[in-house]
Amino acid sequence: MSRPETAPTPTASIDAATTRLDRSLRRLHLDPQDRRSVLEDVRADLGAAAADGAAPETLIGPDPDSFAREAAAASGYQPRRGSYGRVLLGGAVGAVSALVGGYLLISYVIFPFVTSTFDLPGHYPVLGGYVFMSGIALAGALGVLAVLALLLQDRPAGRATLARTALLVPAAAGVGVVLIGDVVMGLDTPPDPQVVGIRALVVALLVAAALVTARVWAARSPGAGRPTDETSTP
Amino acid sequence: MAADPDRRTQLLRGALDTCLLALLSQRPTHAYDLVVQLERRGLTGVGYGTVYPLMGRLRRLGLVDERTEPSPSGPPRKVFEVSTRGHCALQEWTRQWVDTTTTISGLLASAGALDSQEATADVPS
Repeated sequence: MSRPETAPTPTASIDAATTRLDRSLRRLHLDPQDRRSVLEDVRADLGAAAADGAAPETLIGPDPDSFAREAAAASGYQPRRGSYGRVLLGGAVGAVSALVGGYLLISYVIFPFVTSTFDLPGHYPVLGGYVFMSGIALAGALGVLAVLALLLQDRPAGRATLARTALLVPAAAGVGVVLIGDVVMGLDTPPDPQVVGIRALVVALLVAAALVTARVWAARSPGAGRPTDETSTP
Repeated sequence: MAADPDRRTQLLRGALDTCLLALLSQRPTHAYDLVVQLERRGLTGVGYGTVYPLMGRLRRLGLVDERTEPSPSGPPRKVFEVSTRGHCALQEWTRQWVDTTTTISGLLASAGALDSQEATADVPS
């Protein structure tokens, strides 16, 4: 019997199903040997299923992420720990993005709104600057936490890292605000793009140090190597 | 009343590993073939997504071993076989199953929820 031209061949279906599973397993950051072991097992079983006339994709089901998590957890395969580069890069990107976004929001939306709505008595040359910088730093800290929450899903010690980041990053941002506040205001420099870049860099470096510290602290805590979502098996 | 699949899943949860060990004690095989055998023996609806992780757990517990076997349709492939510890576990789990089901069947019969003949028929000799 001829196969319709649009129907995928069993080999193509098996390849497609194992590719999807491979992506899910990679997201779990398993040891490559463990990942290959699962893939080899499943590929062979998909081949057997295809020989029986079963569609390979139905074996894994509609949620390859769930299949991968359960297979890895049941087999005792541990995600690799660390990945400091990934966390650091993601956190730094989140911080810088949020700082720029925060700066634009505060400078062009919040500040004009507040000054046009309230008429405060007196003049606040120092305090106003600190409030301004604190707002940007807060935006940066929230950006870091948001990016990390995404990056650390299903990662070992992910929640512990987030909790420590929530503690250390605002502290680092606070130190940054004091540092750049003194420098910038002491020189009485207008907020041109270069100065904004230097401010962002100073805070980003401090945030990066806080991120690494949070990750090391969390990863070395007792029980940090366990998968975050070791699900039940039947 | 229609059968509740979730309830059936709950009932199977504690017995499926025993069933898999029993099937493997007859003949070493791979996970997909176990799914097929379960279905042939009336345990329909137990998917590969359940059996494969469970085999991983049994392997992790040292109850099954892996060995490579020639395959007629491709490269040699891994099959599971029951280990010495697995045979001991199978004996123990089977005894627990019989004890539990006997007790529950007796309870249901004495409470009038189960026909006494049915209960007797269900009790393994």
